[in-house]
Amino acid sequence: MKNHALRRIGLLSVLLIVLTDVILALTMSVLTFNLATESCKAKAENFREAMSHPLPGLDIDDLDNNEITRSGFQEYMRSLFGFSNAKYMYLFRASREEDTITYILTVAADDEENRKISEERSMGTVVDIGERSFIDHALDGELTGPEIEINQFGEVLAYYFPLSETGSSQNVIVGIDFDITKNRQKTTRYVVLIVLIVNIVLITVLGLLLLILRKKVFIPIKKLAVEMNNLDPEQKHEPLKFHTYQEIEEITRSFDQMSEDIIGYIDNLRTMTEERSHAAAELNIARRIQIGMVPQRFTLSGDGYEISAFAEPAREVGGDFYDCFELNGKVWIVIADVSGKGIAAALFMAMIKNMLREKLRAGASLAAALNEVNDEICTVNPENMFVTVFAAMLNPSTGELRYANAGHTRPLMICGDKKSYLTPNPGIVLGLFEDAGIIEEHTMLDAGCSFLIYTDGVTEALNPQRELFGEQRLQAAAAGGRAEQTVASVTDAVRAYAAGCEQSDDITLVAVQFTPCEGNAAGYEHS
Amino acid sequence: MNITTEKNGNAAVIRLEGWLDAQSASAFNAALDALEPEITELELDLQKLEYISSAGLRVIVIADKKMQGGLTVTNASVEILDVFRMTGFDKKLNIK
Repeated sequence: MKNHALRRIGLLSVLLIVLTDVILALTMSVLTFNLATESCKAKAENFREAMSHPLPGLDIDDLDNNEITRSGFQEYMRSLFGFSNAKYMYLFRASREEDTITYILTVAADDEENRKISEERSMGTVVDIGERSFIDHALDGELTGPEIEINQFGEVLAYYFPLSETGSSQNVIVGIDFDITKNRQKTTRYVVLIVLIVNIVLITVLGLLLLILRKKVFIPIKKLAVEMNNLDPEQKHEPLKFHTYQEIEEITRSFDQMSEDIIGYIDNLRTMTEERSHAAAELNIARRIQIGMVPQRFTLSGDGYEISAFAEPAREVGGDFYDCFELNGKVWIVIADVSGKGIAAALFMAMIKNMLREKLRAGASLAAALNEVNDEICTVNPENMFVTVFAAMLNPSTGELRYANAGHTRPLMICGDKKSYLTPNPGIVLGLFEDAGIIEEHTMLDAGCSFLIYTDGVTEALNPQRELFGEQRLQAAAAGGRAEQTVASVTDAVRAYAAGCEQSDDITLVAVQFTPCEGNAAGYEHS
Repeated sequence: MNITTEKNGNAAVIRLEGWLDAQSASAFNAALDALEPEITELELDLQKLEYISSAGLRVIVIADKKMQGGLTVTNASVEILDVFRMTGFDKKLNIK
C-alpha cells in the first residue's frame, strides 16, 4: 500500500484522540474515586466520634444480654445516618483466632431494608470472613477501610473501627457501608461529558489542521508533481502561482527555474545536434571527395609492372595519400603521411598531392619535386604541419627503381621468401625546414620481385595490449608474388593483430611488382 | 601521458612519460603554452617516453621554433631516436 502522508496524519490524529479519551477517562475515574473515598472516610470518622459517646443509659457491656440496650443502640445508630450516603451500619464481635465474625446487630438507613436486615443479621449470626486484614486493623484500634464491594446492587465502600478500646467490648467492631453507586454514576456522566467536549475540540482542531495542510501543502505538491510530469521541453514554461507556505513556494520557484534551464539545455542540445549533423554531412562529403582522390582500393598494371594500393583513414578523412600514374613508359609511385589526422591533415594532404603530381608530370626529378614542394609549403605553414613522402619512379622495361625519401618509413623489398628493408637516405620531413636537401637514389628490381611502401599506421597499429605491430611483424606477414596478394596479406595481418581495437592512425600501403615477362597489354584497371 | 615541468630561472625541463600521440600532443602543447616568455632554454627529457607519433613530432618542432634554437632533447630511447633519424629530425634538433 502506498504511504500517503495525509492518510497517515489522519490515522495518527484518530489514534491521538482515542489515546486522549482513554487517559482522560482513566485519570478522572481514579480522581473521583479518591475524592469519594476521602469524603467517606471523613464521614466514618464522624461516625466513630458519635459512637464513642453513646446516649446515657446505653451500656456497651449490656449489648449481649440486654434486648433493650440493643434496640436503644439500633435507634441511636439509625439516627446517625442523617443525610449521609451510609447504607448499613452493624456491630459484630471478632477475634484474631477465628475466621468468623458474630453479629450483634445491624441497621439500615432505609426502613424496609432495616426490618429485613435486622432479622437476617440479628444477634448471634455467624459469618465467614474472607479478607481479614481490615478486621485485624480495627481490632488494633484503627479506623480501617475502604473495603470495596461491588455487587448487583452497586458499589459499596466499607469502613471498620472498634466500638471502644477498653473493657469487655474491646472486640466489638463497628462496620459502616457507604453506597457510592450514585456517586459513580454521576462521575461517569461527568467523564463522558468532558471526554465528549475534548473530542469535539480535538476533532475540530485536527480536522481544520488537515484541511489547511491539504489545501496549502498537499494539493500544491500534487499539482507540482503533475506539472513536473507534464513538462514539455518544446513549450515555454508558465511559472506556477501557488499562494501557500514559503517552503512550498520555494520548491515551486526552484521547479520554475529548473524547467527554464531544462528548456534552455534542450534548445542548446537541439542546436548542437543540428550543427553536428551538419558537420557530419559535410564531413561525409569531404570523405567522398577524398576517396575520389585516394580510393580505398586501387590497382594499376601495365607492361612489366603491377600495382595494388589500400588506404583506410582512422577517421572520416585522413592525412595519408598515395598516387600512382604512368607517363611516357615510366611509372610514378608516391606515398605520403601528413602529421596528425582528420580535416586539417586532409586539407594539407590534398594540397601536397596536387602540387607533387603537377611537378612530376611537368618533368621534375623526384628530388627536385620534393625539394620544391618543401620550399612552397614552408612559406604557408602557420600550423607547423609536415608531411613524410616516399616517391619512386619505376622503369618497367629495365627494373630500375629511382627514389627519393623525405622522412618516410623504409620500403620493404620482397623477392619470393626473401625480404629486406631498403635503407634510403632518410631525408627530412617536408614543410618545416627550408633547406630539405632531399636526394635521389636508385636500385634495380629483379624480375618478379616487388616492394611495399606503407605509412606508419601499419607498423604502429595496436593490439588490445597496446603493443605496436612493428616492422618485424610486417616483414613476416608480407607475402611475395602478385601486388594484390602482398597488400591483402599485410592488411589481413594488421586486422587480425588489432583484434577489433580502434584504428589509431591512417593506414595506407602500396605494393609494386616488377613483372617483365608478363603480358604486353598496358592498361588501367580501377576497382 | 604524464607531463611534468620544472623551471629554473630562464631554463625549464619538460619530462614526457608514456605515449605522445595525437591525443596527448595537445596536453604537451598546453604545457609549452604555459611556459613564461622569459624561458629561452628548454630541455625535453624523453627518458620515459615510450612512443611518439607524427602529431607529437609536430609539437616538438613547435617547441623548437618557440625556443629559437634553445631546445635540447635528452635521454631519448633507441626507438625514439630511430623515429628522429627516419624523419630527419635528428639533423635539425639538438639531441643529446
